[in-house]
Amino acid sequence: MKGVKLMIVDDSPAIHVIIERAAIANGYEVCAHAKNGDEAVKLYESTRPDVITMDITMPVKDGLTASKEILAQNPCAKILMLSAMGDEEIVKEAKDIGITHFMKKPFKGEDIVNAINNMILGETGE
Amino acid sequence: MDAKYINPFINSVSGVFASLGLGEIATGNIFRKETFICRYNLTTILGISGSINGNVALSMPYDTAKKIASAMMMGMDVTEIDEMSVSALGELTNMICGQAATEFSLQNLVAEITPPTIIHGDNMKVIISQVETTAVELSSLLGSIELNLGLEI
Ligand SMILES: [Mg+2]
Repeated sequence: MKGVKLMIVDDSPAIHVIIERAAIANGYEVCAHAKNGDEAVKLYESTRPDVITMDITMPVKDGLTASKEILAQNPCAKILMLSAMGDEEIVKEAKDIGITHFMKKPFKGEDIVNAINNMILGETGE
Repeated sequence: MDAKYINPFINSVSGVFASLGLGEIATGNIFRKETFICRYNLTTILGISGSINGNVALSMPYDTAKKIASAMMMGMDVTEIDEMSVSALGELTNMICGQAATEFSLQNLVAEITPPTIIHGDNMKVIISQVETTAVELSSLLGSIELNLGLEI
């Protein structure tokens, strides 16, 4: 799917590489890289990505707080939340604030791309 | 150590490798170490607390570590262990222990995990604790990995 603007939010540099490589191979444009929730909120404002991959556990500001702030800016923001084992409670809270797309770690780059394609096509999925 | 504590870790290494597209894992020898000591070039260490307490370490030669990091990052060149490859191997360790923790929770055992630490160098000998340790030799397409479980149960 060409032309999709993606922002990657994760404190782990390797996750940025995994997602970016898969994204570019699928014709997406990675318009922003954020390593914590604070950077994510600021970069969301300035770059307006179509889709965000959002890690949960990060320093400075976590992914749930950042998602709330981004959804306050734009209630239609498309956020794919990347959850790890033990994040079940946070995933519940995320659903309460309106996040509908989740991806469990471990994932391959192509899993992320498939999930994003589904989000863009407007399907719900987890 | 009772197999019910060892198997979740072996299963989770296989499961995570499969999810990441890193190929199959074969289990080799399982043996005891008097102390928790690792001798390969690179060791990732992670603490566990709850119903199970102690440390888990994945120890591997540089060659294996570089191949795993490269395969995880969609074939990116990994010629040395830098911030990026450490990040990949840390994620791998997290995912493996997170998956094992989920298996333990199905047995009603609590296992909280800490963020992983990674140390590496030539002629490494890392003594992690004095706890008797169970080591499991694992072989993958990317090379050999030693899984070490130093757990007080
Ligand atoms: Mg994180």
